[in-house]
Amino acid sequence: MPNTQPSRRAFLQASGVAAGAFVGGQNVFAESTNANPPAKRAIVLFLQGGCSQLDTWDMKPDAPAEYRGEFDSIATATPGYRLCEHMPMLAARTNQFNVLRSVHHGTPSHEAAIHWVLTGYDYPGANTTTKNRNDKPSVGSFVAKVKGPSRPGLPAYFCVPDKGQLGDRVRYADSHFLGMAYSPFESGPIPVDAESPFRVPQPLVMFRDMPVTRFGDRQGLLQQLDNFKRDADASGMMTGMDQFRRTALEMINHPVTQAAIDLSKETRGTRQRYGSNKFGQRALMARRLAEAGVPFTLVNLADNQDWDTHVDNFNAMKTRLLPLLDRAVATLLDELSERGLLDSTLVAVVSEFGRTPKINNNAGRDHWSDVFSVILTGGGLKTGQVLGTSNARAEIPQDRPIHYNDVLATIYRQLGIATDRVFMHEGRPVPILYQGTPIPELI
Amino acid sequence: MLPDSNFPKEFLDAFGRPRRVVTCECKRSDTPSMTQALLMISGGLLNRKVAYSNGRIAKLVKANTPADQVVDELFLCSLSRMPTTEEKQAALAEIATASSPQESYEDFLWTLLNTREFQFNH
Repeated sequence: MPNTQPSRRAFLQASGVAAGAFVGGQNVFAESTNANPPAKRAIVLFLQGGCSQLDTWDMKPDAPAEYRGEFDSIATATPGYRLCEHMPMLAARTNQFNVLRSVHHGTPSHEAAIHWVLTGYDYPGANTTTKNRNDKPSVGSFVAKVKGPSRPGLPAYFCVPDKGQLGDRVRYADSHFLGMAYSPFESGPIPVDAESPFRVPQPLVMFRDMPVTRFGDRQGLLQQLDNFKRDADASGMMTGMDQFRRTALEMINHPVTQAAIDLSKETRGTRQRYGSNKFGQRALMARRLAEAGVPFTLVNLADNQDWDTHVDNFNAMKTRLLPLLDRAVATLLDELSERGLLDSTLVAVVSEFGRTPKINNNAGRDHWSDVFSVILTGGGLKTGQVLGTSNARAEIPQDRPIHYNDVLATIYRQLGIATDRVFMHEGRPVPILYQGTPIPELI
Repeated sequence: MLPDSNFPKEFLDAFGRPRRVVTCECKRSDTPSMTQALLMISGGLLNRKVAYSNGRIAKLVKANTPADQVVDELFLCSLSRMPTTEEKQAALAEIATASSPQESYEDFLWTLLNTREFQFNH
């Protein structure tokens, strides 16, 4: 009997397997996107561990020695505002960003505070054993859900290098009830200096560069043969894996992620400019992803709560932390600005909390969530403002207290995402944020 | 110890091996991930094994095994069942148009290993 069906190969050629989930340039997964928001994308640099506010953005030179610590302050581009002596590059650029010195959320445990900072939601009893996964979707997952990818084959939400915090003992950067399709794509390990080679993670490159036609044949055959259905997919795993596979095929068909992530395309000079260390190289990766058009990138500037300086705070800060942060953030802002991307790219530097104003017996500082500092800039925000103050010992907000959720509300607003939008979870509506309003001074 | 010392580390990492950054009791991840999906499609482990020069497909080709028997065997070794009539027809039609039997069998086995049926039942 002659085969009257059009050959599958011809069909694939005509339809273009590569179209994937994108129909006429529209991403069918995105629910809605505000027409023309000021920020097209956001980069959140996360100082996991808890960065001391008194030794960075909120110096208290007149406080008693056991509070103010050993660092001097230096003048900045903003008259009257002084920054830690170990951040000279950022001091020269304070006109390009905003410092919020009166941020608070009042949650002093790492787990709950990390969850709060990455989601905008409290997670009572969050811990590393039984409550170490999201209790609400992370900001990046909401962004991925609402905005969707900016182009086929490029995930909407990246984590650099991965979605774990506290040395991977918790993973609160995930999608929770939104479903696995909105989990972050993890960049994988980033070089720890400017000299080490970077290799594109193997799964992003088709094994032995299989010819496009043959790979197309495989995808066509898979469509024909993959008819297995499970009636009860209660966990959502099969749906999740289907979505992953669709995205994975797109990522192989359109190697934009492979190109975006390839740090080896950067010159040695550029890699040096960010700093020959893990913070610098991660910040450079964030710039590459922003350039490619990734809507939300979470960069962990710490591996194992590096900023958690209970012991020997000052040596850690002046050798391992602040000079690296200074160069990485300053260079990121410079490069985004040179490439004309800063106006459309919101950049935030956040930490899960600050540190105790009074220095402890180990020359360290402990957890402090009653007041800490956040940096916000780009993405259409006004710049050069130092907003809010803490009291004389940086213990509590004094003028213009800012709840941490106002920071998130500002990020969402600039991205064009309405925070009162609800998603149903177990029959109940969950808003993107249940509290928090954009900071009027910044918009 | 893993029996195969060449077992790619990235495959185990993607399929839930704890990262061992610190000692902890946090559970290993048992949910699917984007990296798993990518590895099943593009990964060296699966693609290398499918195309292995002394592997099942190479032996079937060397023995000039008829295509319909190859299809049965590949179904049995992956999904542990015989193909349905439709599946067999689709497979044979595909194989008939291919220039190289070896390549078409490799493509076919790759496809079977990427089906939901294999990934969720086996």
